[in-house]
Amino acid sequence: MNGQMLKALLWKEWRETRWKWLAFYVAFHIPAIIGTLVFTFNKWVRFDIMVMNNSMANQYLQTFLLVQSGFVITAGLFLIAFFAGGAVAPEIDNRSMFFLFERPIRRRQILLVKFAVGAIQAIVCVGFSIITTLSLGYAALVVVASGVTVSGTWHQFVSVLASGLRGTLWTGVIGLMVFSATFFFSVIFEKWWVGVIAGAVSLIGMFYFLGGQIFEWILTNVINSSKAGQLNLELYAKIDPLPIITMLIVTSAFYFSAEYMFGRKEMK
Amino acid sequence: MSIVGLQTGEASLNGLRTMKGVNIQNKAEMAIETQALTRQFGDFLAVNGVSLKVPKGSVFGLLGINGAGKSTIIKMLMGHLRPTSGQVTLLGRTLDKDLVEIRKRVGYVSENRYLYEWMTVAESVKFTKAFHENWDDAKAESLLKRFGLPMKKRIKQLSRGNRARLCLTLTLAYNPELIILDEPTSGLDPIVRRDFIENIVVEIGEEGRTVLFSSHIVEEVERVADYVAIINEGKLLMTSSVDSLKASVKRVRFATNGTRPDLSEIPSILGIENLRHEQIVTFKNFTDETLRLLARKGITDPEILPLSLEDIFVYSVRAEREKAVQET
Repeated sequence: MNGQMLKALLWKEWRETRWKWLAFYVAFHIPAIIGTLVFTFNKWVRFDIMVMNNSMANQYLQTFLLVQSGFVITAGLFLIAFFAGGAVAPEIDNRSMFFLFERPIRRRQILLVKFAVGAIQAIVCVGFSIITTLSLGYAALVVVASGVTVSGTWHQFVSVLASGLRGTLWTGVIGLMVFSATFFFSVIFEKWWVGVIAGAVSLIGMFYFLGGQIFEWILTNVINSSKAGQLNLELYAKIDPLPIITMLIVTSAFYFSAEYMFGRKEMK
Repeated sequence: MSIVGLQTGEASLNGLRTMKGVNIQNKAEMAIETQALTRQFGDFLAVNGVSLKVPKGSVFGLLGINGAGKSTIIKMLMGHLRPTSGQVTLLGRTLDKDLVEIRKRVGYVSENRYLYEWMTVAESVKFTKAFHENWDDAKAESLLKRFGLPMKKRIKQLSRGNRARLCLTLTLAYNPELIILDEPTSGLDPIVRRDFIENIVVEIGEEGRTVLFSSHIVEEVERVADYVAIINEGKLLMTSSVDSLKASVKRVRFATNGTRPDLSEIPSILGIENLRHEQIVTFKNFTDETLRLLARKGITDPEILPLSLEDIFVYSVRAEREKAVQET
């Protein structure tokens, strides 16, 4: 595969998925946006942003980070399964994949581009949504709250953002694993919705067997180590190489299984 | 009617083996060669031991009714389906080792003309160009102009005829040595169909490229093909140059005067029709020797009836079916 072919494949993938993933990315911010709006405009909510001051900003940002992380590792992963189900299957189902199969390019190269584009989009959505929602939340705080100034809260924001990067790593790796599993199902099953169901079922299985640990890796340690009214982000998404490497190995196993199946797939 | 001696494979390549200076037995001169190609789907035998030889520079028609196995053969040639057994060689290379190289040199237009529906014509041209080093911009432009394809229209908005024309443009623009067309005229109106077959396929053939096309319309094949292979229920019934096929397959009519001669010793009989006072025998490979053998049976003045390719197709398929009925 030369550069021109790669460029063409990337262009095709981007054109086919850009609106889907944009919608996906927006969807990841919806809870944060709704939460911010409620806190801002609903007078009966105890957590009123408008009356906040610089000393309360840290607590607000930490809560924001935890809520978004909680959303991403529950509903977000199902969203990934939903979207990854359509990574390969529809093109096989409607036979447009024939068009690529007739080109002088190896199947594994076609699949690699599909996987790479999808995986990057998944990581951006689940991982970076933590950073972007946190940034959006901070921007809303600065704009809306009369007692909050950028100069007085910037260091707090940067500190929470640094913790958020750890969360981004964790959720990105978990998201990648979920994406690769559903991607694998999308290669096996020609109907995209079968791949989605298989992905959702395996996700439920993952939560059943690993759910407690996943929450512990990212969230539970924070809550357990927190004192009344004060969160402690030191243990939030603490980097632990073993589960991260394990999940990357599982991701690779799913990808190479998908590659094997894709290589053997017949177009009847 | 009794059936004698129908075989699959290369049996009917005997006699006139050369055409357009191409020796059918010379491996290096073959654009496509299959050996005992077989494909089974569960219990269903879709392709049964097909051995084909498509000479370089020829227009080769794969003729068979719908469901005969033509598309399955073509999909195996293109590597979309794996043969259950048998071998495929395209342009002297095997699919499992040289797939990418083969795809650089082979163009394929499938019956359903698979394209990305959301692309415009211009986008699909640009997209396809990226994959082919031999892409000829001038040729693509001239074909697009000739076909009057609307560059800004999305593919999903194109008529079937224009889709077919676009597929052909995308295939011809990279100058493949071998072009495989699976039912290229399927779903097209008669005018587009005739243009496709008479102008395009003939033109490609005249450029010295090899064309293999499948069709269930005998007239199409007869009009443009140098060689033909008749496929029925996954079996290759006959393969030869069209001219030699017409020269070798004959119907012979003779009076019986009440007693019917025993013809079981005469080889290559496709079928016998017993009428009230005469018999009509169809021979797969009619030669002077056949005449001598008939004379030995007392048939000294038979009437030799000419056969069109359609007649040959119908008789050979019918004979095969009756043979299958007898066997069961």
